[in-house]
Amino acid sequence: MLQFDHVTKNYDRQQVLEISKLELGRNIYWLQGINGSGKTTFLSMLAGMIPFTGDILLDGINLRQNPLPYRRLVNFAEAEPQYPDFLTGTELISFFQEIRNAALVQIDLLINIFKMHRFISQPIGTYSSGMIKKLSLMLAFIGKPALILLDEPLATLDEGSIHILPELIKAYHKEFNTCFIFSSHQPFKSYTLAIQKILISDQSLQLIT
Amino acid sequence: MSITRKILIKIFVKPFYRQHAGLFVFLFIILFGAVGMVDGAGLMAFHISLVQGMLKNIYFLLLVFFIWSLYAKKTEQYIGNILRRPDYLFLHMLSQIERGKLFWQMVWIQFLLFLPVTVYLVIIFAAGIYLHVWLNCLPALFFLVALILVCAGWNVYQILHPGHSGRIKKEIITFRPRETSYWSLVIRYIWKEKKLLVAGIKIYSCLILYEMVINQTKVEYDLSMIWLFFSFGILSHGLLIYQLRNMEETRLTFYRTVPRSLLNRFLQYAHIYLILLIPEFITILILTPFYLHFSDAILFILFSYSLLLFLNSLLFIQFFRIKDYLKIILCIFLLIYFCVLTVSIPVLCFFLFLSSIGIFQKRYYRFER
Repeated sequence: MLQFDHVTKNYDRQQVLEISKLELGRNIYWLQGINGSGKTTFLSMLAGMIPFTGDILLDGINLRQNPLPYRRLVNFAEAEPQYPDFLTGTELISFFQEIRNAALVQIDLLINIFKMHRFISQPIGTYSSGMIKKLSLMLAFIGKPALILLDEPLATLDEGSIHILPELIKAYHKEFNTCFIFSSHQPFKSYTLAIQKILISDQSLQLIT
Repeated sequence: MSITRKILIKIFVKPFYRQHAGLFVFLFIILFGAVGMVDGAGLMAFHISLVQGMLKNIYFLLLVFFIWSLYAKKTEQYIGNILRRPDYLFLHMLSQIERGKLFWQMVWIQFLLFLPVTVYLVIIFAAGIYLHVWLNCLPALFFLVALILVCAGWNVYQILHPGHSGRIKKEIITFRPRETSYWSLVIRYIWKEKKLLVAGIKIYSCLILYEMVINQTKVEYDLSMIWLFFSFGILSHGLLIYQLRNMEETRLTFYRTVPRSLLNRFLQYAHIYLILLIPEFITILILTPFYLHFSDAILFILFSYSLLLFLNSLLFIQFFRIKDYLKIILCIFLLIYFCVLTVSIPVLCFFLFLSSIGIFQKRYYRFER
């Protein structure tokens, strides 16, 4: 259960988000809104990447008061991920695998699903933007997080991966009861996923049922 | 001037000098400002003897060439980094210019980037003419021209072969984890991309400490001036720390979301700066106890370590613009000066340690670029 209590976010005294009260169950949510409506800001706040005022609680754990236990529950894939050029995919995955205490079997499975064998041992500097995107998505699926946040997950992905993603979301939701919140301007093609929509407009969130 | 050349200067030359202004000012101060009377001679005599040594001693000349090569590597790295940046991808258009034309464009750019070296070469020639050894200056001229041409050629290659990275390795089937920690990521970044800057800082801080301390006499054991010059070297780490934090905020943003305690995060930085200060620590150990008292050695170590941690924590208050950050560093230098005068360096160390921990603890999660 994700709870928001008087959450506000300002940039240079300009308010960009205000959520007085909101509760979200462990479902799959598609965050919608026009450019600049605050989708990325909202996801970054949830991921604990940027400060805000108010309280965000996940399964009763307050992000601001208990940053460590909260972060154990959340994974985030950025819209335009950037990593140091000299690192290899293997190293970055190892880093996440160790921190998230993930099983090697899961890593093997994810590498297979995202078809990353060919380039995973190469330095990230040699990756295309699509490959970096795949890597960041893969990192978001490492471990058994309670909440996975995906910012524009379909952008720059190839056709094959676009079809994989809904299946993976479905599997994680079923297996680990993972809650998903993703933003996407592209149509999310899945007939088997029960997706709820959240609309961001006028600095506030509205759950569309 | 053609529009291409104008754009190239705007992209490659102007930001280069803006970004490295601090370094050039620092070198200017070291070469001209910090030189007083050397054995009764003045600034002019000092530089003439320097050039004389360069023109008459082949090893000295080779050392100068080595330093120029480091500078060439720096310009090459700088241009290469720009060409790889996503916001400069449009520069691939340059590959449509006829190759010879592009080469001369890059020669011009490299010439502008090498201006500080060229100016120094002019000084060398002037001194060579004055000393009637101007023929000895020719190798330096040829070397500089060769450096400019090679760098320009390499830039052209980079433009024509974007993302060239060698062979693709064989497919792997099973994932084998590799030991990776956050501090090691940052240290590898320094090793891969900032070794020239680090080398420059280390050469200065270690050499100045070593040379000044061994020239102390046991009768007149006074470290005041050494403190000031050494602190200048340690403060110059601020440039590196700024670039590290910048890299963290662009390419290691994911680290903020990983489940790591605040203490663990602080210890990562403590680890990084401990490793970074190893050359200074070794220099201090070499000097102790023969030239440097134990208590002073410990103070030098504590001072440099706490100062780096403090400089790092400062950038969690706010990601200052580089010129504001340099102003803060200047203020810290004045504070150090005051502490040297009042013999209160231990108090300063204590203050820096506590402040760095306090700022980090208060600001880490509140920081936003």
